[in-house]
Amino acid sequence: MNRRELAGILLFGSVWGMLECILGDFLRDQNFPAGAIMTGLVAVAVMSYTRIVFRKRGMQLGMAMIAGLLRLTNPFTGCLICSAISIVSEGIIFEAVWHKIFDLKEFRRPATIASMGMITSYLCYVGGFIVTQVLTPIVSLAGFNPSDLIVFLPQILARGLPAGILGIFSILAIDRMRSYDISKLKSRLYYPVTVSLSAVCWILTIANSLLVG
Amino acid sequence: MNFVKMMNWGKENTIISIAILLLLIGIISNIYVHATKSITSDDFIEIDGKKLSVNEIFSTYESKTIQNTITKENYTGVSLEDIIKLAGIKNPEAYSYTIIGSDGYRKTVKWEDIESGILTKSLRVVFEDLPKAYMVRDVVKIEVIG
Repeated sequence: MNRRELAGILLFGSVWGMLECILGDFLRDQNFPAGAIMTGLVAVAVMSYTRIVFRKRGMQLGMAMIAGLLRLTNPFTGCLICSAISIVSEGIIFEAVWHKIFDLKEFRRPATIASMGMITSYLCYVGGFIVTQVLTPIVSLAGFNPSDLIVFLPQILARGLPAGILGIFSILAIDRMRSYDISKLKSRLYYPVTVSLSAVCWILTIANSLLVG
Repeated sequence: MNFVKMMNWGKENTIISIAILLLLIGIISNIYVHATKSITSDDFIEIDGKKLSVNEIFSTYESKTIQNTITKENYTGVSLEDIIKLAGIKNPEAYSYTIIGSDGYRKTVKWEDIESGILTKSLRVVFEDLPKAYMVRDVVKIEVIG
């Protein structure tokens, strides 16, 4: 991983984490299906965009860890371990699904690109949900009860549907945005932009926590 | 060698087929969830087969405020320990409790967690030391696990 990619991880991980903290919380407060929206629109868009423009395996997991860290360590909303676990799980699942995929151009049919959005988003949402349900009780020392998860599994599979559908729109939009390639910026501009935008994301997240509570 | 560059129509068809399969799983799960959804009432909570009136719970016991040590947020409601005792559970400390929401979401907790837990007026359970994943919303039932 070179410096340019590391800066990309910091920037896009921070953007993702900020949106999880601000937009995600807002959607939850409004009783919208925040998990499905955040996975289908934000997580899939940010991860697939960076995979297409940087063409680097492992970046998306790094971004998920930054986003999870922002969610976990945000000092003004307290530790949100479930969300952090879910975000990192999404990064791992994305890496698994896209293991041999670096660009959507390699697909000839738009239906295949749309299908990648469905598969990525559905699996990220469902997988993230399941991993969270298993790991949160273990991490919090409350004890994992498998029957709680098994009985709720149909609900999880059902809730993945809107996330999967949103993922289709998300990935089709990203495919059209490939010309806006941040990785091609000259170094003298790229590093100041990535570092300062990342700082803005962290500051906005903390300011939002202080103002909104 | 890039695998995707070697992709032919057959492989693209495989991706499309997987997406259709997931779509079908999502649709069938939604149908199943809606078909098996039980009709519940906001007026009662069922504890070990006994129906307790929500009004009775909140009129019998005084509310208390606790702070969740993980989210650092304060919550106000009636002690879960009192509610379990109101349901007439004998030797309550000998059991675990599965708290079930109207959407089927459930979490099983120990008696020690029940002792530090509350039921808010919005029928959400909150525990002092457990993460948000344990804050089951719209509680309709509490099962006693031997």
